[in-house]
Amino acid sequence: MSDPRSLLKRESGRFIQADGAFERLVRRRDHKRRNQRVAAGVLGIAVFALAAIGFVRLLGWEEGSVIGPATSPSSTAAPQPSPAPGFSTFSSPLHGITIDYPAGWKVKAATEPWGHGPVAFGASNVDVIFDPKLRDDLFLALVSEPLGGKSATEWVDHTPWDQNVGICKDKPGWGGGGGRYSVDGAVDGWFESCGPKPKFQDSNQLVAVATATSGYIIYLHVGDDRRLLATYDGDWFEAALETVDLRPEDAVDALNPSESP
Amino acid sequence: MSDSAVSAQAGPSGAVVGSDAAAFEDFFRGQTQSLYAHLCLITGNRAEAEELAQDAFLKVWERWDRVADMEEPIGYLYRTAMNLFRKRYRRAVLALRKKVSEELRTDEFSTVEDRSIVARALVELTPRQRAALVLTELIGFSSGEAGHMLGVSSGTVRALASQGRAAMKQHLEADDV
Repeated sequence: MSDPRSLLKRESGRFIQADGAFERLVRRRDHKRRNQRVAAGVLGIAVFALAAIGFVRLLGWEEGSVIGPATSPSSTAAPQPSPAPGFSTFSSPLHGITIDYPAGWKVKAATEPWGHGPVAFGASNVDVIFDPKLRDDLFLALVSEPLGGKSATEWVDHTPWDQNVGICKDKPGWGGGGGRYSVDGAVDGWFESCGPKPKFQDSNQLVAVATATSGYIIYLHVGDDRRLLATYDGDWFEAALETVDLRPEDAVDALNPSESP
Repeated sequence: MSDSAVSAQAGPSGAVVGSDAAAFEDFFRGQTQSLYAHLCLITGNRAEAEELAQDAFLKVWERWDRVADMEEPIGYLYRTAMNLFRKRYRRAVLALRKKVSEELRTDEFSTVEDRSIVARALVELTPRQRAALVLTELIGFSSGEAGHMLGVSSGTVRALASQGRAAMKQHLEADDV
């Protein structure tokens, strides 16, 4: 038997790409740009809707800018590949991040840049994607900020564990342990599991990751319930992380990096 | 990249510099066939390989001003392609988790037309084993580099590649290649 390398090499020679690959790529790019223009229009409408919701909130609606899954995925800054059946895609208008989530969940989009405060269910500067039945017992939270002069590693190793942020405060390994992790090509991230009590020490999952310009926190909170924890475990979170697209250039605060700590 | 095999594939575009469209086109033409063929081996599906290759090149094109100045633009291209592959693979797993009655994974290698003996041997491998084999054995990335691309440790890559080699060998010996 030949060695695997020569066998694979011989096999790969059987796959010849059809002519006109570059022309197809150009068409694909043009198509994508067209979609982006459409998405920008939709984003304008979404911003208007957010403003209207904010107005309603001023009038006393306690929930804030809750957007159902039918409208939130359309507030994309750029089109994404179609999510898997049963899933929707959320593109954060403020934090420059895209992620797929179960279609029945709802989105509470951030209405202001993250101010380095608590990554909490009710925070207005946090993108929250939640199960409408379980609300703050099952949600994903997303925030980002410019690195503000820190290196990506410095940011990942310090900022997310700040007491103010309020989640997984004692990195590393307070709960289920942690380790280096990559998200969407950003390789110096950190994955951490933690929880409020020993019995539920893996109930929360956190990934902190940074690109060259922005730091991100992606947080899964699961309430103290064994059945929930069995479903929304580390594997579930990692599968969700696989759908993440980091787009620091789309983050609103990326325009004013000096404003961030 | 640790092996000259990949650098050699760069051809004239190995010296890619600058940020203009012509430089990108040169890079594309130098790499597209090999990336496509490698993705065919990994995914076992020509259409999916074509789509992944195109998406990877689009992402590189969007960031070409930075990628062109990298020491290893080809490595970046493969990292991007592997990220996209992983996303698709995990998306499929995510979707199928909802359908407990279905099998967790369907192997698309069985759809490759005109299968050779080697292709039939590849059917026996998981997509991750195929990816580990192609990245390390065929392209020549180190296990650490391949691990970054696949989101696993270098030890896992070595294990996957080793399992893949063993499975291939067993199948090929049965076919007496």
